[in-house]
Amino acid sequence: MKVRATGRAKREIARAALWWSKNRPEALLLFLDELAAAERFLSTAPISGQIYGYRKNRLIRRWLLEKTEYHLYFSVNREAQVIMLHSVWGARRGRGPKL
Amino acid sequence: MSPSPRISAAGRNYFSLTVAECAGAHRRRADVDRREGLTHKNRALIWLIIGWPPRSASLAPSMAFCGLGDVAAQKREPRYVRGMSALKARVENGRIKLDEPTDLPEGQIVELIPLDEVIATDGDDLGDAERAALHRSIDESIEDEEAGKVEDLSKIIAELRAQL
Repeated sequence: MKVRATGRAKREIARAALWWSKNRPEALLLFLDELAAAERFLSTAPISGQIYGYRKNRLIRRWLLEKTEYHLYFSVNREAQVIMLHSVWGARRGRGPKL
Repeated sequence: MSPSPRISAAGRNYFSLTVAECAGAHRRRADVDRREGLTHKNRALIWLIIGWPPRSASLAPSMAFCGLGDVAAQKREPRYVRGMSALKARVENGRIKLDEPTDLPEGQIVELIPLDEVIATDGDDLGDAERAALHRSIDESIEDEEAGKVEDLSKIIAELRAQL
């Protein structure tokens, strides 16, 4: 399956990647590396994520980036063979993006 | 296999059982286990989540999902298991009938939790305000999707790598 991201998710990804690169210079690409690894995994096993709930008639799942502690919120469109990344949100309280 | 007494078969005449590890369920279970003096080292954790009928027929194929728990409940977040092991059962005369082959060990305890319950009460560990913000984010994102504002994730990652 193809993994795609919405405009909103893209902004959140950019913000998280920038934060990580500025605040964790010793591992400035860790977030993007984890994101890339998650993309590879989810593209082959899309329903491995934990079910989160429904939004606008979509079943939203999430996947934890364990090292950087972000959740990827996504939905799976089997017909289109697309995994749509909707949001990248801090797994800890107070770590959601402020866009 | 003894299902949780919390399960209600009312209105569910057929459903898909999925083996799953769930953060909220783990937390709830962990609280019970602490009270009962149990540890997750001596208790294999398998969660069956019932989710049928889905709220939309088009979502039905997406309901099958599973994970096999381990001792991850000792950690703040669960490990998501890389596999699928959906089971199917029927409700007959108010009893859950499950007749599926399994590799689970004899005597394995399996707990059943309605998917709706998990989603409604333990879908995340966010505060109310942050959860509302997350939901707004997802809703806006879905609007982006419907407007065609989407890109390949690999392209986004490659662009950001080049910038950082």
